Amino acid sequence: MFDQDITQHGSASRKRGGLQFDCHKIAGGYAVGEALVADNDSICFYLVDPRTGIVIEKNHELEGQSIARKVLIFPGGKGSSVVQLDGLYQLSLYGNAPKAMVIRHPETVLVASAIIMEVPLVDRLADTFYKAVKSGDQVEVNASQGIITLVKR
Amino acid sequence: MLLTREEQSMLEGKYGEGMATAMKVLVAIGESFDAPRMVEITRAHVALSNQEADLWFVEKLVSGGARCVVSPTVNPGFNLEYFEKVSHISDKDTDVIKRTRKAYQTIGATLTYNCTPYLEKNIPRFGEYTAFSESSATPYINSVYGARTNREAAQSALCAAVTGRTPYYGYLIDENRKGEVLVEVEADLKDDFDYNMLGYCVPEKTGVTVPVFTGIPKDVTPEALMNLGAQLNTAGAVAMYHIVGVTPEAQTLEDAFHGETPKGRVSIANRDLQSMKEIHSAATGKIDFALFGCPHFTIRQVEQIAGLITGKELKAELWICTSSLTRTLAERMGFLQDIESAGGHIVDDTCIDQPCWHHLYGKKGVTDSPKCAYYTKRRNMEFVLRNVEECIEAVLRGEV
Repeated sequence: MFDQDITQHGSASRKRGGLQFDCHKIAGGYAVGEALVADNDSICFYLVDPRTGIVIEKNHELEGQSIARKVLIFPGGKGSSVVQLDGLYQLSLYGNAPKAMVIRHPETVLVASAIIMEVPLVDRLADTFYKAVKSGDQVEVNASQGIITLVKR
Repeated sequence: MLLTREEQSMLEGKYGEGMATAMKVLVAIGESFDAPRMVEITRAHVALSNQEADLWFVEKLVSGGARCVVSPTVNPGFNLEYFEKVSHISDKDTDVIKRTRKAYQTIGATLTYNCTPYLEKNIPRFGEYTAFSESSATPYINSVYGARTNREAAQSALCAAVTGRTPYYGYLIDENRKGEVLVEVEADLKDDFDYNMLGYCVPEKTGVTVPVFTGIPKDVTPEALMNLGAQLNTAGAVAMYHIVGVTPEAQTLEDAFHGETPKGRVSIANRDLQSMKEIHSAATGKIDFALFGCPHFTIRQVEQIAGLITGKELKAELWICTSSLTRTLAERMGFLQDIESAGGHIVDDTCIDQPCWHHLYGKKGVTDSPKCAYYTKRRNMEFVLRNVEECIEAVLRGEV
């Protein structure tokens, strides 16, 4: 049951006007939405206001921006072993959870939370994806099939 | 992922829906980390949090008939009976804590309500496979004891306790336990508080990695190691570290790096600790309270505070969170009476990030724990970070 067919540095190809990238499924599912990119800072979903989706963590590169219903592209999760699930759960109650998540560094707390909350989560994107994607682009995440399609704004 | 016949039966629902859900979560985690199989665990610690999501998930397992194969110790929610006496607890909060207690009791947890299980009640041996959630617990048992756990979510640890299994990946595997970045500590480590600052400033310099420390003395206290791990994990999801000459997998620098060359090298000076304190501390001035015990205070820390305030009168509230065992010891040893006579509280079975603290929302306090200051932002509590002695001076004067 290994995902042998998905390589660590998947290639990009052009399809239907969008750039297509291979990725590795962590939590399955499908979503389309607007990209929001955090290049450097890990995210703790507990320090996001569930009523608005706005990041309240001081000095965070997304501080003051809303992650609600975005395709969130960020390095990975941080924070204690309980807060990620509750953060995502509360965001979901208000309809403000991210539509999908794309990360570089999977760790168990975020992985378990995404699986339990059924938020599509993928990793192992090629560097070309990170060079291409900007906040505001449209991103289609087919986590179950391991494919991301990027349409530039 | 290759499952045994027994594990396949769990997944397929032979032991009920709750067990099947737990196994399904573990298989999904295992597959995302390319784990080849499951291993049996002998211990678990679940970071019960008494939050809505925590309750939702444990009740879901319980209603599916799940019972733990390996009884886990659990984190604190809050001590309802204590806070009912000194404050008002809403019907909703009362309902949630009662249901949380009931659900964890039914699923078969060991109800310790304490976040430092590695100091009492759940102490693993070297090399033991476990599933420990709780940010101070994971690095402590990996690093200080050489037991093996991944950085579990509360829920993945609960699934492991229910099934008695965890996927074989990450820090369960020798190769992944090797040190990656050398951290040369040049700062003076004067007290346990300095280890809080050290833990908080390292991940920013090293990223998520296994740091190898030099410059930490052999007589480092359990409290200092508790602080170091808690803050490494809070600031940067660091689940294990080595200290050369101190921790069991790092008798030498070579041991720590498995004979390889470090990927990076950083040094930590006094000014790094100082700037961490300044960045994460609220402005000084009048304070309303001091809050200690994130992670839960040990008897030694309680003794230190009793010594500092005996016979004095506090100008601000003083709260110390600890385990029921430590509170009992404090009572037997006279520290509880000393602290209560000065106007302070020792409350057991309680976490700093709980709704029982609503009377402190919107107020400013002092604490020695950056983790406490970080997680209570959502409760609109503000903290000035100081060492224990300076915090006590602050509550005696009502300002800092």
